[in-house]
Order: sequence, then structure tokens, then C-alpha cells
Amino acid sequence: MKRFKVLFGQRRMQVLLTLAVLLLAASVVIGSGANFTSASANPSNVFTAGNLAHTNSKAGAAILTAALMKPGDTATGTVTITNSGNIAGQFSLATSNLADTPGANLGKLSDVLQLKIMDGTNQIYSGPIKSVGIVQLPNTFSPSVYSWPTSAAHTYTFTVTFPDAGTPGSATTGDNAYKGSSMTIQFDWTAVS
Amino acid sequence: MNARTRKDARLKAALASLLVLALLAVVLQSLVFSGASFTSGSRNTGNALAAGTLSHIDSRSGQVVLAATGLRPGQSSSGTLTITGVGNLSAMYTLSVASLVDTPASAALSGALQLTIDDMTSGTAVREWSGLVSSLGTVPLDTIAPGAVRTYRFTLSFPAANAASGLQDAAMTLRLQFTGVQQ
Repeated sequence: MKRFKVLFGQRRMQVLLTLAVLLLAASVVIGSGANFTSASANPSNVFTAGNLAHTNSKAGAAILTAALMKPGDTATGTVTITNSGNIAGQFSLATSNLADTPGANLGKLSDVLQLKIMDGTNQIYSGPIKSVGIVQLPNTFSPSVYSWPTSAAHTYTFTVTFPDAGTPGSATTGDNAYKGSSMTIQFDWTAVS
Repeated sequence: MNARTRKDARLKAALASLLVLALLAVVLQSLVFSGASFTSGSRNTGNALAAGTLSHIDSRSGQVVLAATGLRPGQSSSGTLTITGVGNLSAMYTLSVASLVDTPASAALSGALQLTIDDMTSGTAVREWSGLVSSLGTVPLDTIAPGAVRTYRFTLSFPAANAASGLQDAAMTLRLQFTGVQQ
């Protein structure tokens, strides 16, 4: 008896669950007393996963490059992103792998270059090239709708400006700090369903 | 069941409960924070931006271009220098007065001496500026491309018409500065 109590105490939950299952089974057996049945079926319910994909008109390549920039110069490039999948998605743009190579006067070009991204006449981003962060890309504006339907395409214009800060105070300060400096940056596009 | 056995049983039950709660938490987290099932990505690499370099070499940098002592009315003195574009940007150069000191301040010798600046690059003098030293401000010169060399001649003359007894033993020092601004 003592052994039974111990066993019961240790497996109390299991026993209770077993009893519950038995009761359920019993109710099914007892309740299934109908003589008539009627059945129907809906076969061929097909479930297909969607495909979220996009095309990048310059995938793996640069959107813009500029050499020998000087204060006041701008560089422009465009890229077209298309939702080529068969489901809608939300698109975003981010940057990565920013790398500066300072010139002789040690100025980092990313500290001074400004980036503006336009979707047609709509501004997507305007600010330091090093501070883009993650930019959500609307499919429509006013009101902003961020879900891109299938085949939606947007052409973005990237403009990088080297602001002219005026006559440098010395040979190594002001805009002169950026002589011979260069930088590279990567633009990453992501679609999420 | 002794006390130790009951304690062990409660401990096991507590551990089991914690395990269940942990599993529930994981399941709930996956339900709440499960983002999209599908993603698509692309990248644009190699966006390279580079600033140019601009500098120049002054053949007489920090040195005297011309010096004249004991200058008398009707005399002149000249000196030349070359400016060489360095770097990879063209620049428009100007010449300006960095400092001008007359001794004595009055009557000032700079008000009597005539300065003429000629571009001698082609071998033929091309006038850049001419006037009294005291009126020299900023003179636009030429655009100098990387690697290009221009030669400038500075001629200082003491016109007899400007002679005045008060200018005897007068002196003047003039410091010139070339500045290039990228084009």
C-alpha cells in the first residue's frame, strides 16, 4: 500500500491524464450511436508558398562612383528595384561596409559627404552618407504605403555632394583636410513579406 | 513518504513546471516575434567616392623673388618664379599681398614703386597686372592644370616721376601669396 501511495504520488499527473483520456474515449464510444451518416469531402485543397524576390538593376555593382571630387562637386547614380516575386513585400535600404581611406591631411570623406536619395520627386533620405541607417521604402506616397505589390518598381536617384565649406583656414584644415581622401560604401536592399 | 521524499517530489515538480514554462515562453516568443517567412536581398557594392588632390610647387617658396637696394628713381629690378600644378585637379590661381610694410610708414615707398607682373610662360610677356605696389590687391592669374608650369616675372621700378626727397632711405618689404582654388 505504501508503495502504491508513493507510486501514485510520483505519477499522479500521469494517472490523472490517463483517466482523462479514457473518459474521453469512453464518451466517444458511448456517444457514437447514430445510424445514419452523411459525409462530404473537399479534395485538392492546394497550398502553394509564395515567392518573394526582387531584381536590382545594378545588383552586385556600384550605383555611383566619383573620383577626383572637390568641394562643391556632386555625383549621381540611379538604380531600379522591382518586386519580381509573386507576393507583396516591404522593402528597405541600408548601408554597410563603409570604409574610409583618409588622405595626407587625415580627413575622413564620410564625415563630410552628403547623400540624397530620391524616388522620383519624393525624398527618401537626405543627410550624411554615414548616417543612412535603415530606410523603409514606400510603394506609394501621400499616404505612404509600404507594401509593394508584385511587379512594383521604383527607380532611386542617389546624389552625393561634397559641400563647399569655403576657403580653408590653412593647408590642412577645412576642406583641405579631405584632399586625396576616399571612401567606399555598400547599399543593401531587403524585401520582407 | 518521508519528508525528504516529499521534498524531492516537490523539487521535481517545480523543475518540470519551469521546463514547461520555458517551453511555453519559447513558443510564445516565436509566435509574437516571428517576422516574415520570406525575405529577399540584394546589394550594390563598390560605391567608391574619392576626393582629388590639389597643390602646387612655388619655385621660390619662402624665398625672395626680387630684392633691390639703393634703388634710385628711374631704376628697376626684376625676378621670376614658376608655379607648377601638383595633384590631380586644375586650379585657378590668384596672387595677393600677404603683407606690406613700409619704413617709414609715411612717405611710403610702396606708393612710389611700380610693380609689373608678367606671365613669361610662352617666352613673350603677357601682362597680368601693373600698378603701384600700394594698390596691389588680389590679382587673378591663370588656371594651372596638374603638371603644368607657368613662369611669372616681377618687375619693380621706381619711376622718376614718383621721386620725392622724403623717400630717400625708405624701405619696403612685400610678401606675396599664390593661392589655387580647384576648378
